[in-house]
Amino acid sequence: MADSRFLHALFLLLCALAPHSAAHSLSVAYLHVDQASGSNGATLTLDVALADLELELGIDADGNGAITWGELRGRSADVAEFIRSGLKIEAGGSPCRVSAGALAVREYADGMYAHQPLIAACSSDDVTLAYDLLLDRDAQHRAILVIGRDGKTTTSVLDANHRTANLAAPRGTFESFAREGVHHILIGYDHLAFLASLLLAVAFVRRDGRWQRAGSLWQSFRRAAIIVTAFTVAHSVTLSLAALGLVSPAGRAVEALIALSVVLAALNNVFPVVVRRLWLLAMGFGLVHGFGFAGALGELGIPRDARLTALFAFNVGVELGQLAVAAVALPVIHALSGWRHYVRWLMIPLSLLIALLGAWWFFDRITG
Amino acid sequence: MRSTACWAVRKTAASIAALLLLGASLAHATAPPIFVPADDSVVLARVPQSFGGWQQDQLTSGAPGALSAAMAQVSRSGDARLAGRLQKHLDGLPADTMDADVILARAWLAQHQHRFDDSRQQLDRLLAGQPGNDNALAMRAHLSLTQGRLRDAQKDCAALLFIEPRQATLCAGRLAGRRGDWDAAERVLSRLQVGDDAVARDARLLSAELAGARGDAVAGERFTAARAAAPGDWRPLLAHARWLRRNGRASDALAILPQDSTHDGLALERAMAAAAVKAPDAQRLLSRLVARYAAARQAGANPESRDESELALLAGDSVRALELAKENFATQRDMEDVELLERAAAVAQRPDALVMLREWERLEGVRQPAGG
Repeated sequence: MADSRFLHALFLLLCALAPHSAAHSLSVAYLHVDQASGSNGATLTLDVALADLELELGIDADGNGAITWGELRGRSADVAEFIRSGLKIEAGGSPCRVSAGALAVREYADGMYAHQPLIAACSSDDVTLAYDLLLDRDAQHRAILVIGRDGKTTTSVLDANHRTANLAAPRGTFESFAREGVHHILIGYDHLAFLASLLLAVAFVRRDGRWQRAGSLWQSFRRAAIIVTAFTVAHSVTLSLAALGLVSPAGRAVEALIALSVVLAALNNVFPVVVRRLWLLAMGFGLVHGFGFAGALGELGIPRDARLTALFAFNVGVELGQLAVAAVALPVIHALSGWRHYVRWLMIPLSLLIALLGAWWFFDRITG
Repeated sequence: MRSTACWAVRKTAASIAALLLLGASLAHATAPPIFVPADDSVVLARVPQSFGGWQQDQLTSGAPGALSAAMAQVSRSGDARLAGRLQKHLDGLPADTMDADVILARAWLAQHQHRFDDSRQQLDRLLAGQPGNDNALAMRAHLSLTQGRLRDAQKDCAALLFIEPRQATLCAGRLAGRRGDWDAAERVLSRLQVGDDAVARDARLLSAELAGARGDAVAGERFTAARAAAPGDWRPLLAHARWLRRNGRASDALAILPQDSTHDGLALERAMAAAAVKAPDAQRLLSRLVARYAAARQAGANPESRDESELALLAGDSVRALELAKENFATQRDMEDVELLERAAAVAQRPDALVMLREWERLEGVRQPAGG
């Protein structure tokens, strides 16, 4: 480094002249967005500190240390361009047309800010905003984003790690939590393995120590629906208890027990213990799985004002997800179950494989 | 007369407490009004003095001398915007670089921004490869002093002795001061106050602070000299203003403090001095400060708990003040941090809150200073 000698002296100076550390006011911008539900586009205002504009654009034209309204107004085009370059507003992947209004000012607690109104005209209401203003210049810069819609406001912070915001109208609580329920069952490999263990045997009944084909596809589907619903009823109970904070089971133990339930359900196909009323097995283990779902729901955050709706919707989503899996898997299982070697060459090997996987998850979760 | 004075104090405290509550709850609900000034000559803002000569483009392009100039400017001004810009530049350099200058710059900035663990990590990494790096040793000693790890500081001070004797002497003086051995600290510091280099300037400031802490009459003179030796530097200015206010000379403190400062510590000191003399703009200054803290929290940044604790004390909220003073003490243990904790515990009538302080003093060999 070319200035190494100078730096050497400087470090000594800094060590000496730094008897107190300091924490200070950061560079903050205020971004207000107003959007009416269903409208294409948004009305925005961005308040940027004059101190930041001075550092970026050099507003103090005469260099006398005072920024006047005349100096700021004289640079209004540059200010608007600077702000527009730091904001990308898109709808459905296409950029919105952004026009700047007349510049004004606003005084916050830490000084005067330039107030720039903007109007974004977009092709749809699925508006997203990417904020880059000053983030590539100042590592500490943040923008406080206030979104107003239909009389309600939400506030969030944009910084170098969170540069985008979706301005589209949020889905209702029921819809969004139902979607999360479906999503969770579809990505929950351990829940799916448990379900698969039960479905593998759903086309059969155990008579005289042997698996015998039960009947029509409709009968298989009816049995599957009963099993899935029993599972849902059971996990709804424990999920609700945990989500409402009435019970707080240890997450690690729950995850290990879920893995164990997979092992036992799969082994039940190989060494049958519960041969009638499989829905009882589903219900018993559903209680454990419910605590697992509660962890996922906790990560989402339940809205305080709509707890019951969110819980109900999440459970409905899980049930729908399971029924969807059953609807896809059952015709295949039913068709294959007509094969006379199904039990020996498919159901038992697959069940053993699932049991092995479950055993691996169990040990991983208790030792991890 | 006495009851009138008490009523006035209670009224001021109640006003500040109300402001604190309002600030916390209405940080963004009350967006300030939008306006268009009547004519072009209206002055909207003063350009912070700290911005003078800031060369962002040169820093970004890596021009020779730009990094050192930027660091010196951030250090002198304490301006958070400039620090954020310097941080951005340093973040852009390779994370695993072994360039000592870059590592030291990162460590120094992390310390400046209260990211003490980051700072120590950088310094440990550098010293693992270069055990005799005097800058790293001096910086780590200073970090250890700030964090109250006096035994660690002592080791680094000792290691400096044969590498950079004046730094080592300053380090020893500071350490003696922190341990409460003020006479020894005075003796050591007096040997360094010759000339006009950085060590001499810092020794003068430390000497002024020690004199102030022990109630010595020469403190004022020393603070004035320390300020004169480092014009534009916030540290001697803040230390002097604080000493003036605490010694019943709040109006003198107001006279030396800038009207508007981008530095939170200076802004707080001005607000406290204004409140002490019941200046007409005291309420405005305090409400601005409360709003600044609320805005910082809203933006996801924590204001310095030391400053917030002082404000809570001013508002008469001793419980909150003590809570913040303890929070502050958990991260930094400079003389004023210890003094704040003791003051907050006394106001809150919670001597039990000092148990951890006394335990730390015992472990680190800190004693109550004679004549303090």
